[in-house]
Amino acid sequence: MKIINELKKRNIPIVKIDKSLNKYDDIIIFPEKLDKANKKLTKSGLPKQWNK
Amino acid sequence: MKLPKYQLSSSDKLLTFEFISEGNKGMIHKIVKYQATHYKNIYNLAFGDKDYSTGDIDDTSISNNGDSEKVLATVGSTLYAFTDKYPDFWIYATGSTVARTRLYRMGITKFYSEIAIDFEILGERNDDWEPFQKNSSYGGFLIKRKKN
Repeated sequence: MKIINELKKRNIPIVKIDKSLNKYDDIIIFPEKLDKANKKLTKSGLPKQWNK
Repeated sequence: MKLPKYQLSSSDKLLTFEFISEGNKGMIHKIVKYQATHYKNIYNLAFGDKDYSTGDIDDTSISNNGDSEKVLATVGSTLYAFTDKYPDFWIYATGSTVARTRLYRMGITKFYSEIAIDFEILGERNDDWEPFQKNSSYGGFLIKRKKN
């Protein structure tokens, strides 16, 4: 109960580990979205805030 | 965020999450994936529908299951789980359409006071980044967990 209260306090969801999902970790399952993300990041560059 | 959310399952590395959306179109399996970009420590957040019988992922479908706020809240909760494990990573998110990006922006605006406690959020506008401002139009978002 103490752990659950701590998780709730920190907004951390209780996640059930499902090993059948491991196969998706090392493959790109949303290639167009990743491509779009890479193009946008290249166009915008990294935030100047990071150089502070 | 004290919103209704769906129960989450995850891979061992907390890079892939799954939950089941329940609504007027029945039960739809959703996949949330954090994908490494070309930039070190920046991951792209994407989600779509999983065909339960084949395991194939469809990131173009529009399910309209009548539970968009619960779906977004559940996707938001994966941010907490992912950044709890990878606190130094940035997450880039944008919608597959302008309308969807606007939907995400509206969600962030609605719960900004709570989200901003735990996350730094930058919005992308005119190919530049700025601290997120409510009701401003952005093309994408960069999010990072604050070190509290």
